[in-house]
Amino acid sequence: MVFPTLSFLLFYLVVWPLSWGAVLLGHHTMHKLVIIAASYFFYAFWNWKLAFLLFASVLLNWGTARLIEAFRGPDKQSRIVQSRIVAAGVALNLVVLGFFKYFGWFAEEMNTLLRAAGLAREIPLFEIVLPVGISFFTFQGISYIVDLHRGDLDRARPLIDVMFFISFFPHLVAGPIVRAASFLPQLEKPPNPERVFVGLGMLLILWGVFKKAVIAHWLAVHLVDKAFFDPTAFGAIDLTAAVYGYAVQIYCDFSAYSDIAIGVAALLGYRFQRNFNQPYRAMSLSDFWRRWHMSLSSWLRDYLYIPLGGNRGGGWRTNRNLLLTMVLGGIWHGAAWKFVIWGALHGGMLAAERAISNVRGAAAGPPMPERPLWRRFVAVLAIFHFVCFCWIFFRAENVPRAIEVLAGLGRLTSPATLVTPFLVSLIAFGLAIQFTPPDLLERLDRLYQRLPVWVVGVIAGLLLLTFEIIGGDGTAAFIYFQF
Amino acid sequence: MQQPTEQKWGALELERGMTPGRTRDALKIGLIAVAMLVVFNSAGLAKWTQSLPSNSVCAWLAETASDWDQAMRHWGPAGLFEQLRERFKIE
Repeated sequence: MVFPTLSFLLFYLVVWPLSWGAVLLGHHTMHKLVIIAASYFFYAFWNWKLAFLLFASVLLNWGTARLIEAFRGPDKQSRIVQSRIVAAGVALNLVVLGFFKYFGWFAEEMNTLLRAAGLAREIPLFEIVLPVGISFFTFQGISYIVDLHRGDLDRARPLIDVMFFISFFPHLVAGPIVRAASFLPQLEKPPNPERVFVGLGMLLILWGVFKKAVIAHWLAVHLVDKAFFDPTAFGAIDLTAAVYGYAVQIYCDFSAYSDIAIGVAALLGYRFQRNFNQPYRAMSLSDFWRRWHMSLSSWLRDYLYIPLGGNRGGGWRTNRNLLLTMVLGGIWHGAAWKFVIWGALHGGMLAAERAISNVRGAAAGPPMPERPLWRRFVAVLAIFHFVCFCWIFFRAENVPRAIEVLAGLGRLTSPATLVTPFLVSLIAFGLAIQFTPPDLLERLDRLYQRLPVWVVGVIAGLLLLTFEIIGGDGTAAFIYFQF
Repeated sequence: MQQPTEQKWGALELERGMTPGRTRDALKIGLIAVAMLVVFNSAGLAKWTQSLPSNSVCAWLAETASDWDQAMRHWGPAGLFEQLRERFKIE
């Protein structure tokens, strides 16, 4: 079930009144059960057998948290036992994730090595179905036990709350990655039907549907997919447009999912953190990572980079930690060398950026946002192009295909066959929205507050019909479903 | 109703400056928008019901949606939407 489809709309039209109905009748537990049942139905829509895996993940993390709670104590011995339980819980989560996501890749790579070494024995290959959203719900499960261990969460929660937190359908299959410490307190009391961010929810849903159904859809179907399928058939103009097009497509696709998820949750009375904040206006790569997939980058910072030592322990250790975090972040996206390269490029650049900043020290001048306009413009342009370069590896089917794209960027004499004025205008629009005023949403919310409800309903209906007209047939799966 | 202290209203970045409202407003907005979709894009609804699994309930749904689509074509809104779709179709 994909967000901007009739199937999801009908599903939501059933779940929404049922969940609020339970709240209005004063049945908080019933409200949670309605959402949990809906979430499992939502997940089982892809593959009902994998709903058991989701439940197993919930049980694993709920059980680990109960053990942490049972061994809680002020003495050193209790802390050691607790740390071991957390380590075992995290390891089990990663083993499950690793098996489903990386076993096939690992077996293939090992067999290649064994054959190269002249050994006849091979690791058997199984056809393993990748459960949709496994990376997301595994990370949320880890967040629950680690937050509890660190004391960010005051106590272990009952099974029903852990099920709700990990399985909640808006964030279940493609994020945002919600932190236990920020979400679980919301389950203490039922949501208040008189205090719901209706304007925010509606605006984010409509904006998300537009970005996905119109911009991402058109760029994917008519430009990016064709160019990356056979880069040797196209010249520099088409491939350059395809690379820019993919930068816009992946932003519009993924941020659309996040926006719709945040909006859908908001209308149910739950609140998520922002996941994207105009990433292509970043003036440094570290700034980019504070704006792009913020829930993953902050997760990697808090649960991987800092435990590795963060920026403690000197320059080379910080650089090693940065590189390791980004390479693992790359592998999180999938078992392929192209993701390793993508992560290493980002990690290497972050380390370089840090090293340059340290060397220049006070001589570097004022912080980037205070520098002259032309310098900020050059910085934004440079970071955007570096990110685009890395996207080539991310999007291409494999590394040789990425190299074909890079080689094709030099074929200046080939005529353009894919680029149209409409596609160029979509790319331009996708980049222009990176520079809208930061309070645009707030202004639109103020406008929403002034309009009668029925007028907002008619505007929403007209917008959805317009998206239907210009969006083309069908809705492709979201890019991040595969991760 | 008081919210948990860890999650004060307006504390999240996205919520800054936003005004909370009543959930029944969302219901009204949703119903109007869906009604407009069902009336003007009745063809989309009929097409969706045809993609459902084959059983007696889904067959009934498909037939009802098809009748609804015919009625909307007869009364005009579906035809108008089709004309607009053809007029603004991007090749």
